[in-house]
Amino acid sequence: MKLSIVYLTLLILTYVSCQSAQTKHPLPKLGHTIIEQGDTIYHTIGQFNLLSQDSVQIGNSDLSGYIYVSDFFFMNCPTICPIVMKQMLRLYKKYEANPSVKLVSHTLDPKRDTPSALKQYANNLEIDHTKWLFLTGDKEHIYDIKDDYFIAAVEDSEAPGGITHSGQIILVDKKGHVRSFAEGTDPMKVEHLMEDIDQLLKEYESN
Amino acid sequence: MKATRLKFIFLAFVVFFFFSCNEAKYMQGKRTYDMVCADCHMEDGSGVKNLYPALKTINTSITTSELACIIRYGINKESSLIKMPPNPALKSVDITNIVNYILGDLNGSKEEYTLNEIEVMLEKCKEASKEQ
Repeated sequence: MKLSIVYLTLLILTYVSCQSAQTKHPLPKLGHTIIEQGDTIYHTIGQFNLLSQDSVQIGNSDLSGYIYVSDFFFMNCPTICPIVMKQMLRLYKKYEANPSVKLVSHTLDPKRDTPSALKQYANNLEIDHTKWLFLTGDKEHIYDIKDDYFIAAVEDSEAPGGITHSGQIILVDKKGHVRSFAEGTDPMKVEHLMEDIDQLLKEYESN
Repeated sequence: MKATRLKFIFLAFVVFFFFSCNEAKYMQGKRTYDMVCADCHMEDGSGVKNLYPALKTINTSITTSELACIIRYGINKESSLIKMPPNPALKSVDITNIVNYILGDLNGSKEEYTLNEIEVMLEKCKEASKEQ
């Protein structure tokens, strides 16, 4: 008799916990939040001005109104970059037909990764150059921007390729808020990121 | 009756383990490949478009001696956007294992190369790299 009560409680608990998992909360706005005079100010990607693979200047206004996934890499990186690039390619293929989604890859090695080199790189990936931007520019500026995407990167002469950096893929919404991220070397984590992208797209559809 | 059922279960286990252990024929080659090659050419050999060439479909596009030599000496052509670094730390036996893994497991080739055969190939491209 007692045992059956325990089982019943467990069953109800499981049911209730499954229920709450089904109702999805909006994706959080990640990063440092400030409350100023009653207004909540969320972390936003700061001002940037970079050059694309087509040598076109790209700033915040060019990406506002799009949701985009962003990563930091460099062409001569022999370790994690190809793996992350493969996952970015997966994201590209999944959202190729969706005009609200863009991809933005920043180089951490602007000296070697000039716009024309990045153009060749992008050509080899056989992608649409307006949908997937490869950005380069002033080195200090890029290293400042990476902080807004919560990316760690340091020059390290002993590291393969000369730079140690993290391989996260960051999801940014139409207003420049960071909404999700995934370890770009892990296909399963990128799978979850895709679910978050779908959810964010739905949020915009219903508003 | 019970004995036959047990036998059946035992047999099923044996068959299951036989297949699960048989994933890669060249395990040593797979281990080295996963450490040295997989970051760029991917664990399954699918590569990344034209940047990092796929290695699971190279049966006819490259000779075995070219493959062995590229693994050791890399690719450093002016024309190639991304240069493949050489692997001086790999011994001939490692390269033999990788070659057999790439051809046998990733490409399904029946041919198997011996250490001697690969050493002859590597010796030839060593001379070729000196001549340049």
